[in-house]
Amino acid sequence: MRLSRTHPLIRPLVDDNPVTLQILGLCSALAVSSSLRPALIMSISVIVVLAFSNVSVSLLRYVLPRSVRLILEMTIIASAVVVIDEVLKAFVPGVSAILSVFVGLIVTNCIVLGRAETFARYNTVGASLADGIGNGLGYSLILLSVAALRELLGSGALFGVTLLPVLADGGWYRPNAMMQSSPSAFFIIGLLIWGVRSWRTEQVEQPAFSVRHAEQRETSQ
Amino acid sequence: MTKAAESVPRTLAVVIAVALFCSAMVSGAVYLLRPIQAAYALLERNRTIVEVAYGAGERTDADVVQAFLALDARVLDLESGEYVPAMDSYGFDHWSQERVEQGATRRVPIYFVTRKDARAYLVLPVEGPGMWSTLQGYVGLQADLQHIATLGIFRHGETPGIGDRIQNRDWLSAWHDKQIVDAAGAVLISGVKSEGAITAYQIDLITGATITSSAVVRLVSNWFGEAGYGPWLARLRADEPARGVK
Repeated sequence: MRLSRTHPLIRPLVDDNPVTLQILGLCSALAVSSSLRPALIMSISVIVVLAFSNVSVSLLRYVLPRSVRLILEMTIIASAVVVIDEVLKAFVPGVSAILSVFVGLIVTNCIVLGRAETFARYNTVGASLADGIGNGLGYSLILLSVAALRELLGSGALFGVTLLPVLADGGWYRPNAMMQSSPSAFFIIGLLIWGVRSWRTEQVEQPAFSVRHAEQRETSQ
Repeated sequence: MTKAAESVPRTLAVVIAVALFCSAMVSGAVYLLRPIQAAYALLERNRTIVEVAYGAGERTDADVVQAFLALDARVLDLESGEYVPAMDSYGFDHWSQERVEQGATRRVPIYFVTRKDARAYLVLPVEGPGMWSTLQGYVGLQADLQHIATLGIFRHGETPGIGDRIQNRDWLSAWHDKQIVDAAGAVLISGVKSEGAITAYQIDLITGATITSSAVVRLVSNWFGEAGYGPWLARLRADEPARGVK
């Protein structure tokens, strides 16, 4: 089976990427992208939470009362996040300590609630699962690219394996300290968005407002 | 989203069902995973103790266990100043939730370091309030029982990126060779905001994390005073030949 570009699993990778197109989930992308290992664990957590919340919301789509649906969606998402947090604390305590509050903050990741609200509520369980995993993968793609770049330029390594021997250990590479601090993630994501939109020009947004020039104002008066 | 789904009984039923399902999921996960987390927490505690005793470094879990069991662990009763016999002094966790709730933290595990290549002679647990949380750590004492060899922070809940700089290796290593108490047992250590030279019993506080870092200084000085290890250490110092100074 070949998946088309509009399949819910594929569309969020580039064409409808939650980070580069919808500009969601940036806080965690900034906070946990300084090296690959925590970024990978974070990615897996987000994928699992998205898949779980999408499937649950989709299962409940006929019985979900409109008046309290947001509360119920948040309850489901928050429970999934607590479970993930406990699992991480039990099996990868080191990474869990690095991720600290950011696993808990998956609850407030707009991607998760966004997909539950706009997709899972109206679609079948299968499609919602694909959409959840797809959006999780779209987020992971950006998070891991940023983390790879930051870890390589910031400490000369990938997954902790040294590729560029740094000066401090007798090598030749002078690590870029800016890459280890959060603002660099902003620059990299900004460049990524620019790159994606130059490649897929249909993603470029039309300005919501245009600047009126002085002459125009005079003629319109 | 039919009309029936919006009725009050229906809404209540769905809400209660979802709430029950989610609670079962969360409590089930916590119940099943707590023992594993506790085991890791104890391993991390032992890692801190081993790092205070022998210095920081890459150690596998097995290395940590081996080095930890090579220490001479005892349980000290701070009220009487006596060792508590017949206790599992290696597994004893005086910071376990139940013991803290009971206020039963006056019995502390202490660790004499027997290996000659060690950084510290004696490792003592210390704790106290930080800015937001209780700070728990270990002080490694030198054989004269007056100077600090190493300091390690085990657990804290301070602000990531700000207060958690008390775990910074450079800051912790600045504690090396600082004098906590003098030969008579009077507490000397104090925190100072300094740009220049500091004395052998002053700790340079962390700019931007002054409250948390001075809390560390305060809790160390409290624990080495009269209410903490002071009386016991005085006896230990007087008893020098018996403890076989290196």
